[in-house]
Parts: sequence; structure tokens; C-alpha cells
Amino acid sequence: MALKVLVADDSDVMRKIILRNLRMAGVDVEKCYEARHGFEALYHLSKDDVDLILSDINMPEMDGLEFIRKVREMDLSKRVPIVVISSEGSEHMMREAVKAGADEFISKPFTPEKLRERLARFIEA
Amino acid sequence: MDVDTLLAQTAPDIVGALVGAPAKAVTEVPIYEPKNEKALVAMSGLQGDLNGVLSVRCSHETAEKLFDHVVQGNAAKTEDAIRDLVAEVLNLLVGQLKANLAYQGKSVQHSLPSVFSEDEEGGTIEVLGGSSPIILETEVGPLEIQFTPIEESF
Repeated sequence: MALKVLVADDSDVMRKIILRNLRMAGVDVEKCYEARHGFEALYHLSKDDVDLILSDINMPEMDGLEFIRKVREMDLSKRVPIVVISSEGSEHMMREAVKAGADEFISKPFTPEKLRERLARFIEA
Repeated sequence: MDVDTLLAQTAPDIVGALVGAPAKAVTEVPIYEPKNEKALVAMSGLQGDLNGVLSVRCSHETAEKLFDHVVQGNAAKTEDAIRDLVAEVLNLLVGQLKANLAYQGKSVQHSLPSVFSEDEEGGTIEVLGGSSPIILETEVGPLEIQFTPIEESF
């Protein structure tokens, strides 16, 4: 199933790495929207539906937690899975991400295999 | 467990995972390029139960090789992109350090990284002191990681 994906990370390079790893993990990415922060990501969501959101936490302008909260408040056509991909892997941050509305948390650095394993239930749904 | 020990224990695994090959902590200062070769330094300020600056330093050549290795042609190899990746290495280390400190019941906030280039005329950024850096030998070249404590929060 080809997916439309939104990747939010303030690092240009990390967004490309995430996309590369998604494809290496066997995810068929039909379209990838990239955002440097929460505001940009919300803009993309206002223009098109996506099937999966991958978001960092530490971003300027609007951080990942705030972005996730805003997404869950939006009246989207369907509930989009949100996966946090962050270098901050503390239990506290994972709890905060889930509390904000994230469905999964992946710590950086990650391998394509780990990505595949953690995204399986969203990709195959 | 002190910060230097935490870094020494976790940095090789984190950098190794990024590079895709084991990184080894070494005690001898690696042979850098001549002083007129710009090195890149990424810095992030830490504040809270731990106050200081965490930095990652590597030669520009190492940064470029790291970029080639990690990005594999999926992004344009610009100076900004290379610095972005060095900043991301620092982000990974900061993230792991914060997680480890959280296990010790300590809370720390950090600034987004800044990346500097060393003086083109051969000087180095004489900003940081602190303990000896942790030097990691990797497949793409050596990286220095250093935590410099600051007495008061800023």
C-alpha cells in the first residue's frame, strides 16, 4: 500500500535519512511532505491527507509535542498514526509524547529494521 | 555516575550506530589535518541539574565522509547540510545523556545545537576547557566529544 507520509524534523539531513530508512524498511512512500517545525507540518496537513506522521520533538517555532496535540485537535478525515522519532529517549519524554497523542516512539539512531518493526502495525493496517 | 563516564560508556555505541560500524574510544590524540584545515564544532548548552556545554568536534574531512556515509546521496552535500549532520550527532549524544541523567533523577534542558567552523587562519575555538575530550575513532575519522561544566546556570 503506497503511503503519504509527513516527516517533521528541523534537520534537513535527518528528514532525508528518515525517508531513506522508510524506503529501506520496505515502506512504499507515494508522497513525502517535509516540515522543519510544527507550524509547517500543520500547514501540510491543512492541504492534504496523510497516512502516517513521523515527528521529532525538539524543533523550533513549534515543538513536536505541541504539534501532536494540535493534530489531535484537528478535524481530520481519519485518525492518522503519529510516530515520534527523537534523540530524547527518556521514559518521561515517551510518556509526554503518548500523553500528547503519539502512537509510537522510536529513539534515534535507528535502523531500517527497527523502523519496520515499530511501524508494522500502521503500515499493514 | 558522572557525565564523562556516562559519555564514555554511551558515545561509542551512538556514534557507531550512526556510522554503521563500531566506534572506539582512544586515548591518543588523533592526527588531524594541518591547522589551516577548518574543523567543525557543534555545541549545545545544558541547564538544570547539570550545567555546561556539550560539544562535538571533527575535521571537515571527517564531517564530509560522515555525510557521504550516512546520507548516501539522498541530500545535496552543501556546507549547511554537512554542519546539520554534525549538529545531529551532538543531538543524539545530548538525547542519550539526558535519558541517562533522568534515570539518576536529574532533569536537564538543552539548547538547540550551534555549529562553528574553526578559525581559517589556524586558531582553534578557545572557548571550552573542562576535562580531556573523549576521542572516538570511527570508519570515517576521529570525533572529539567533550563536556565542559559551567559553575552557574545561564
